[in-house]
Amino acid sequence: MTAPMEDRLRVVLREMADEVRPSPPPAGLEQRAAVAERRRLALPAVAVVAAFAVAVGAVALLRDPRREFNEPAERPPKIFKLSETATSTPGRSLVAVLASTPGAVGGRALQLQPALGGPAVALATSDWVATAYSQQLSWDGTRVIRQFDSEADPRLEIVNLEDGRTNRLRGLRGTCPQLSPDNRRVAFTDTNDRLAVADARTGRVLWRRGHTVGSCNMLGWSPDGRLLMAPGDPEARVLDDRGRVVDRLGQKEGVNAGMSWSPNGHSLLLYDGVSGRYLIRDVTSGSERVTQPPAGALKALGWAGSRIVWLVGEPGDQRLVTTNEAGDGPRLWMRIDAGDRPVDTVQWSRDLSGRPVGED
Amino acid sequence: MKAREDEAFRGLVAARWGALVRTAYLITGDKQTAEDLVQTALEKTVRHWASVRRSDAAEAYVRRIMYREHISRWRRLRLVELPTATLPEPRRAGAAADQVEDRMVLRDALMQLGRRQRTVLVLRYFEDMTEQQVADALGIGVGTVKSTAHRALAHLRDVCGDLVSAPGGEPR
Repeated sequence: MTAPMEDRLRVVLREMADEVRPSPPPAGLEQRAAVAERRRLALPAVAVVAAFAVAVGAVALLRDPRREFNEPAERPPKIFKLSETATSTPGRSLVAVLASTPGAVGGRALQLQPALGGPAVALATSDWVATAYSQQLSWDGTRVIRQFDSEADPRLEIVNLEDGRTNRLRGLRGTCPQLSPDNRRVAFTDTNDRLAVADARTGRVLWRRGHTVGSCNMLGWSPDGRLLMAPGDPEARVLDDRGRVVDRLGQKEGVNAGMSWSPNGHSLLLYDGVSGRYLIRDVTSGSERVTQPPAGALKALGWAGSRIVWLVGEPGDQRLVTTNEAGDGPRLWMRIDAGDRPVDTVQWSRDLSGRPVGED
Repeated sequence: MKAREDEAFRGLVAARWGALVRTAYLITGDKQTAEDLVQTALEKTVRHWASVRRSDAAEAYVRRIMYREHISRWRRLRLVELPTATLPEPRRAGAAADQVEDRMVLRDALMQLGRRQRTVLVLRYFEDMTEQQVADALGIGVGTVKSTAHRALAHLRDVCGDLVSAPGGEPR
């Protein structure tokens, strides 16, 4: 029997209220109120100056070619359930999940959550890439770039999720490809373990560098597409769009390809293999601070909006949990229903339209 | 503020901070936003302390400010998610798991509501206020309270649809 909505609502509200652990009340509220009152009375005098400053700032923002956005454009599902249904045209997708099959590494179907809604679907393979090793969702969720699971012949192709067409990058062989945020370039490791960037439409190689790339799936384009982070031996580096080294990161690596970059491009989320800690690195100053994983976290997956996303829990009960940059304030974001299959990685689209999730 | 008034105000804060934050959490969906909202309401209250000295009237005053401030405040959701103060419990198998997920869906649907709709539901079904009391707290008409609650509940029923069972009941 289904209970009335009012009763169910009462239970849910009580549960939610019981979960809250309020911080201690702040001290000195009376004094702060007095300060706030003085400021309120002084407001008219500052209003003119503030209006002028806003006008100047607005002009500066309009000129800034790097759009600042911090919010994902759409909401992913609360529960992501793996599917046996395969399609080559899932449409633009919000979330991509790769779960392991016991005993196998490659050949897994990438699971996608279509932006139009409905259940998740598996992305069908193609003749060119019958089994895939590396598979990456593009920044805007409209494409997947994947690599054929063959050491001898690591072919690459780009699948357009909206019409199912594939672009076989016939002249290219390489591993762990990553599409740039505008889908025009692809970064990958060539068959001589060098870092390379090619035109995503024609496959023409734009540049190669003798930077030996380390972990797969860790090449990461910055949100504006001007920088590329590449883990490597002996050190990870950040390179510009001509392959010149602009920063050296030491023995660290990204956490999940482009998701290591904060959406505004100011910070990198890195894993320090020496200390075993996660760090947030300011791209401009190079300063680093530690971020703590929440309880039960297996690994960091990257940024979503202003928060860090972590994979938490054991197979059968895996969740995405977000924290602030310090690692505090854990919140459930999504459950992954993958049966007993361990989730390897999760990606989500970072729609560059910059449309925020609003209220009312 | 005089010393005795200071003490009375601090007593109110110490005694009722937790309850205020819990209600604020339900209407905002975020603990930090909730604490910020309660703090703002308390700061505004203390400026008018001389006229709201009685403790029962004072708390009602704080709450009125809190509810109205939340509804009128322009603010974006930073990230749409289900906030919890602690890490949610692991998934349970079977009927209990269905009920947990049903409640998650209902929570999610609740957080999708507009500010006024969610506030009205929280005041009606968590604070157990009458329609008149809700109207007074929000500074709106009773008719508006009724229609707002009706629309909000209808939305929840649409989203949650034929979700199974009351807590403790058998799944369909």
